[in-house]
Amino acid sequence: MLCLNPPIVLMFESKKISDNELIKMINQGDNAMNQAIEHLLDTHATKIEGYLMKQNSSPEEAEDALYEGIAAFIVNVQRGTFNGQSTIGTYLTSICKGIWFKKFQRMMVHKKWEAAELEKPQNLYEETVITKELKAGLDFLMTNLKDKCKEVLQLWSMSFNMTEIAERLDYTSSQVVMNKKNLCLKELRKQLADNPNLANLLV
Amino acid sequence: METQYTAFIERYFDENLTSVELIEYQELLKTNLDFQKEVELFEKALKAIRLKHISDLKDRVQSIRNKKINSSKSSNLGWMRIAASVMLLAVVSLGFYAQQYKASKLYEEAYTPAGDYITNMDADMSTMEKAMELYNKEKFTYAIDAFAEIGNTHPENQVAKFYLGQSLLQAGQAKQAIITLSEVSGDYQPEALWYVALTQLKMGTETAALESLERIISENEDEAFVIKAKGLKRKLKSPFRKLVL
Repeated sequence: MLCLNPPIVLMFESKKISDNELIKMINQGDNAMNQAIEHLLDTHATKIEGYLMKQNSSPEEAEDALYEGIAAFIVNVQRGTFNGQSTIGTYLTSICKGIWFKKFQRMMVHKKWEAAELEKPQNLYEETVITKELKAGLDFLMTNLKDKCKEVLQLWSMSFNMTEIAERLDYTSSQVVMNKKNLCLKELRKQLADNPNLANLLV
Repeated sequence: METQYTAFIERYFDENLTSVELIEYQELLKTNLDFQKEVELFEKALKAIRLKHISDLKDRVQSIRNKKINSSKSSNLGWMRIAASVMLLAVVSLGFYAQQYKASKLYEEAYTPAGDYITNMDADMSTMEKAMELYNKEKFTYAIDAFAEIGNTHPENQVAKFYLGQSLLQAGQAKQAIITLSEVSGDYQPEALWYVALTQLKMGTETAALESLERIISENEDEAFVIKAKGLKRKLKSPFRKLVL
């Protein structure tokens, strides 16, 4: 599935979108976010995957790190922690490098990229990387949660306060959101308590 | 599921505890096993939500790319038909091949600006990271000064030398770039030599370019660049190239 050289058609379709516009599109969600993702892939995928493969990554590993890196970048934009101090390209590359190294740690072909550098705390992405096992476990844990529950918990996990969540999801008051969040979180804790093997994946 | 601590812990995670309650919370966390277990469940639930969000976004990115690749494959069929016709015409034109083997063409094919191996996005940026930021923002004149300054204070810093060469290249100071990049040693040497060869090719000094490529191949320090150097050397020495140029 890896596509190292963007097809001619894609190159013609790609139009320049500024970093600020991209951030707005991500925050708008839905189709605008999809277009932003498409643009990120068009402009950065080849470079990032190429770079990782130069560091001895397989194409599949590079692809996986790229997707997880873009996901982590989107979360940082949504949480407001990407402050535009550097270009999106540099920031995204740094995240993908870190995730790839964390996920597929191995001896480097050459030592340009020191492990010590990468182990610096960066808070750019989650400590836990998404493995197939973890993904399946997470899907199972969330099965019983309704979509509204997931939406509320998701915004809460990104540090949005109850008033902001109420505004975003059209709830009548922050108290309604608070009750909903507590109820949904209780259900999720119950799932975790009932499935200790899955809970252990989250250590 | 609900315990005497639940509401208290919920308020902690909502950042609604008073400073006195916070001290009580920390105390319970140190001394009370039941409390610890319940807090741990809260933490794991929060982590599960965050990771699920990332996992869903990751699937979304993958699906967008897959769709894009599939649609471009079908569009490419049409393009391929057109391209086939164009190619047929081109085959009869020797001039077409002559263009392909021109040094400037080979340079364009092979040249991509060096990537950022340095910046890690820490809050406190080192002088090297600041210089890299200038490079990444394509402010090459300032980047030249910044890397040169690092080179003056730390002449052993090969990374700064490498990016000084890159900045010179991007700023159009090819001759100075060749001198600087030729002096790079250590892990960056093969890549530095690669750019020396490309720049020599661009400047029309093919013999020098071939010598640089030969050095990359014979010193065999980095397989990726050995492969690149062999490929370019093969094209430069191609008998067909001699025929059409």
